[in-house]
Amino acid sequence: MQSVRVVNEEGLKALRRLAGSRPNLFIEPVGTALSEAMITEAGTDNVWGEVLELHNDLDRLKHETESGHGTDAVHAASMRAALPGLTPATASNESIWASINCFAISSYVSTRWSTSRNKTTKPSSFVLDHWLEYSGSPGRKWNAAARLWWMAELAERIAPFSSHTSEQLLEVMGSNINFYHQTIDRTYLAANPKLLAVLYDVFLDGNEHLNITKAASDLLKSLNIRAGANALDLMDYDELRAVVEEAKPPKG
Amino acid sequence: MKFNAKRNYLHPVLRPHSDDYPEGALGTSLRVAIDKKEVNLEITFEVSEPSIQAHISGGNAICAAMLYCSTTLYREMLRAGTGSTTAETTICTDLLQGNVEVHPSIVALDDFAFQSSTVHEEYRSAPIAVARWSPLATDQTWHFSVNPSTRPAKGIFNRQIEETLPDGEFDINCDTTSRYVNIIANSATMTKLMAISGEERLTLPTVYTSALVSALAEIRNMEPEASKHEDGWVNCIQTRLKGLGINLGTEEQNDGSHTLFRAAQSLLGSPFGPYLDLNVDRISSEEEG
Repeated sequence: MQSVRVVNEEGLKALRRLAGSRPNLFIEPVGTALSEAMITEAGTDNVWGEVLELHNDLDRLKHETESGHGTDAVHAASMRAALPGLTPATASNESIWASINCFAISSYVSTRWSTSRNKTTKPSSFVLDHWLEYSGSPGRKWNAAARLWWMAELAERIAPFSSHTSEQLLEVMGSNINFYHQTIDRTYLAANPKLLAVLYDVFLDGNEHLNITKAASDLLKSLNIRAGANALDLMDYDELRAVVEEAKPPKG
Repeated sequence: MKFNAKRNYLHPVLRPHSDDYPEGALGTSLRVAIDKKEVNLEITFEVSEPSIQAHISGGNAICAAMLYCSTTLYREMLRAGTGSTTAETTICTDLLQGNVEVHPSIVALDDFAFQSSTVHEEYRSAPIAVARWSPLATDQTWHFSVNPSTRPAKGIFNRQIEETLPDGEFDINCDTTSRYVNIIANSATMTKLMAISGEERLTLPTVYTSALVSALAEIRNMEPEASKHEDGWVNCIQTRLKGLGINLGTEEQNDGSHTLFRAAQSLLGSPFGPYLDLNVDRISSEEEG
């Protein structure tokens, strides 16, 4: 069990301002420099809110940090395993993610998302996106660690309905990231583990590509129309599979 | 299972703003009990349309409701038993955060055909075919909130610098899709506002109260289905209003912005309470004199 101090509104706002003015504090964390800078920036030491008692195994992430860059699937599985005490409700809180990223797993975050991986974005935007961004729908935006955690969480939810393991599902989600993002932003699909399981099964079984292909996009549009007309949530696996196969555009 | 409200079906669907069943109605009631660990939820369907009642009691249709929390991507189907018009469930609060939607509907369990004298006359000439998993009736979406933000009212504001604004003036931006209500001023004015915030207790609440009145007016006039930020100021204020038992009413019911002004004060912990009471006392004594 580890205690993670969670920043309050003032703390979070100060972190956002620091991301704009001093992004290197996040990218190259040195001891308590960031927390001290946050207090100075806020103009008050009242920057901390609740204390989150988190069951965790953060040592797992040390291995990932030292072993360099792996695939999103590997890191997503490690991220979820390292934070077994995090519930979906607490994982929906931007202050909690900011605190985890900036203070609990800062060396992991700064190694995995170092500026050397950033070729195009301004350092301030890069830090905001990867360390601090968290918002729900519409236009869901997750910081990098949250994105990994949620991907693994969804793979675990989907796996009981799928003929593939959560590891296989994570692999296909991570390697087709644009398709994955399209699925979580569609209301009818986002939280329907049975339908997502069928969707990934169909593509995995057919060894087909999912990323921004016209076929994948047409399939999602077709399913969206179908979801507005039929109770997809009440269908069993075989019925859903028939719906997905029917909605798939013909090859060629 | 959020059926497309504008879709044209080949069979009649009992739903709000439709005359497929001119006399019939579907009413649902939702009971939600939330404690620290669990959410207990019970939805009851009351349908006055005889043919749909017969489909339910005959096992051709079921009452169901889709529960959806977009924040935690949680989804669950509540399904009443055969012939029953009540569905219930218990969900761990760890799985929900913020706004939760409940979409009630009555759904065909099989392909079947029926005739009814209570449907719109366009449907009366021949048997009506219904396909399995098609909606027979839908009701409006219910909303409730779990683990709502406990941010103080002041926490919904963001200060934004806009140098083109004249000294001493500030502007308010209440975009419902934004997380914060933006208080906008040039840097000189903002610095003054912040500098006096610790000493002059009246000035800063003046800014916040004005901003809150604008924000409350926006909430009062917004469409129920208007797009809003999941963890934004709209949800935060609505939760706190509910907790305080404040109903903003409609623009027609309100006299000017007085109700909004009072509501804004309640949200901020009545910064003007003693000031207003003093005024009232003084006016009263003047009248007596």
